[in-house]
Amino acid sequence: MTKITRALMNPFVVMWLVLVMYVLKSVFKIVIGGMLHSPMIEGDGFHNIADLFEAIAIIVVLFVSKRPNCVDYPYGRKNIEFFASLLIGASLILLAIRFAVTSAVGILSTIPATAQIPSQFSWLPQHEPVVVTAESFPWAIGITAVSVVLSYFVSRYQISVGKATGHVSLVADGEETASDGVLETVTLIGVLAEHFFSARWFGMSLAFMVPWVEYSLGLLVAVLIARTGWTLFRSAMQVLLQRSLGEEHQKRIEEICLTTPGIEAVTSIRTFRIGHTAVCLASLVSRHNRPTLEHLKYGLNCALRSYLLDGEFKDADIHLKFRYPEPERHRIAYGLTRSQGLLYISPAMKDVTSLLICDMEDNKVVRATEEPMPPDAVALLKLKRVVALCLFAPDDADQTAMAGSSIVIRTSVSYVPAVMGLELQ
Amino acid sequence: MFDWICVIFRLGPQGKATFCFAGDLARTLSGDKKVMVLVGEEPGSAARLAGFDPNKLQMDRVKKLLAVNSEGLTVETRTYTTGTLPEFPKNSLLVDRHLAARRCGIPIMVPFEESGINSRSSRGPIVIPFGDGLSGVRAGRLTLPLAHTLRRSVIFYHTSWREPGVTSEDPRDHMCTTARANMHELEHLASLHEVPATSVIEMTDDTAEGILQCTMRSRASLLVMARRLKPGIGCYVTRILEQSPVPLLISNHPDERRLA
Repeated sequence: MTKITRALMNPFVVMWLVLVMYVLKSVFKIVIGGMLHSPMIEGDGFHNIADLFEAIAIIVVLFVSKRPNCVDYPYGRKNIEFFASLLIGASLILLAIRFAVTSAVGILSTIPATAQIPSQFSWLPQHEPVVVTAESFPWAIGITAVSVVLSYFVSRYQISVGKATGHVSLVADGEETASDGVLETVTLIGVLAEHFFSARWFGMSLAFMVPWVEYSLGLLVAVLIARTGWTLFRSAMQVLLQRSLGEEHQKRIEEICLTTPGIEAVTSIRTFRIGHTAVCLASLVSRHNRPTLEHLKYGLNCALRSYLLDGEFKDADIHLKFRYPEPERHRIAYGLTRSQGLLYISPAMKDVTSLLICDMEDNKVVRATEEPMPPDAVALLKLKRVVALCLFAPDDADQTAMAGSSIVIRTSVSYVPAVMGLELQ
Repeated sequence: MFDWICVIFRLGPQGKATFCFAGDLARTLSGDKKVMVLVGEEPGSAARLAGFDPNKLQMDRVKKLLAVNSEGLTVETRTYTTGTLPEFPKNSLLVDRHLAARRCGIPIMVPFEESGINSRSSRGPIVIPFGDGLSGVRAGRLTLPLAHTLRRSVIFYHTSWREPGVTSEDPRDHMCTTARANMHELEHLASLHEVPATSVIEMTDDTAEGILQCTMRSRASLLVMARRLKPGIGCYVTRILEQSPVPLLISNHPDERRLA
């Protein structure tokens, strides 16, 4: 990247160029509009002065947003750009409303039956037809056309630099400049329409077409500007109110987590954005030990960062919390046989001499008590809230004995108590 | 590729998961989809005294497990005495976690918590670490046909110590001649097997951590390591076994069983 390209990609340079553009636009429009006594051109010049102040405000916003993170502002002050975006969005909506009302008043004034309606409401803007003399026509066309071209290219430039450098306020201001360009285009079309339709074509006057063309286009433009304004307003609002990154992002984050070996489940994902930083808080379930979890955390951080930075975000802050699966606490019982000095897990109920009641956590015995085999084993097992009786080789009689109760018969992996984690004397 | 995928029969959820992993692997890798289930026989003096045959009961359980989980597979069972190392058929791969720490002369796949080689939808690459010895190349020879079958790319990973006197920050400039030769041989082998391969060379402080970080960063689906023939003090494979969440394939030397 050359020095000049680097300089042109600097947001401050962009805004200084925008300032220069507005200074030139407003000076030329006010001076030439005054000279030609054209309130349309002059009024547009004053509108550009307002844009000038907006550009200065954006420079201040850019300056504040670029300040580094600190203890008080751990995520920096990037969100100030979204305040600017919110205000620009709101101002565009208001501009669109005003433009729509003006166009509607223009259309009503054109129809004889409704021409008096606007004058009955003093708060409505009154219809002012475009008046361009033969003398002022080339100036009006020249200035408006140059303004349209400037607005178009400068807005594209602002938006592309804003997106590349992650400055929302620059993008929003670019959208505002683009909307100015659209309004200027409508003005240009109005001037041209007035000039061409006022002439007689094949002996016919088409002057009545002028307001229809201009104001219908005006209504369409109002809708377009309102849509841009609403988009800016809504997206800024979503960031400021810390709305989630959206279902699509959350689904993809979940998918990345679940396709990572070692992750059993995702219990929660919370996402939001601060400035251009995506923040992701995820709770995950894994059976691995702490050193392994550190590697899992590292791998997931890399994958999630790569995904988020590949999209619209410039940075990602990822917080992962791991927990072991629920211990699934329950009680089971082993049938034990103590015979001829031997102790083993009974093959079947008929061989049981005592019952070992075990508290289970995550399939491990955490506590066990041995009870002598009672005459009614099922009643004891029910009393102790046992869910399964483990025997080494249960037969049909054992299944029948448990029928009618919620206790199931399970086959023990081994007949050796120690193998089952039962260290008995 | 492998004539047999072997699995040691163990009851319980983990044993069943290992069997499912072996079945999945056999369906993917073994031409005849052959699985050998090794069933441990216990001397069982206590049980015999009590009047029942635990080995017969164990075999009944194996049959029950196979009846529901062996669809499309050719399964054989073989017994061995519990506490001893089973005899494995030639050209076989063992899927097991408990025997992974032992030198048993055949490749061992450790699935950890995974239920199949294709259970996660991401088809991440296979990471093969190599050093200046022959173990990395041995791991490569074992893995590249497998990578071709699974249609996975491979990453050859090496971490080098900084060479005194060399100021370059490029880790490749610090590689020793033998490691560089191994890298070239692995890359050549990969092109022979038409497997897309990249070599990642780093200078990490901790080799095992470097291997695992590369594995995690690249979202690998399998890590393959070869044990050196002569046992010494400490072993990267053992450390990876303790810390990896990604399935690990250990390429053991055929002679190590004799040496062990």
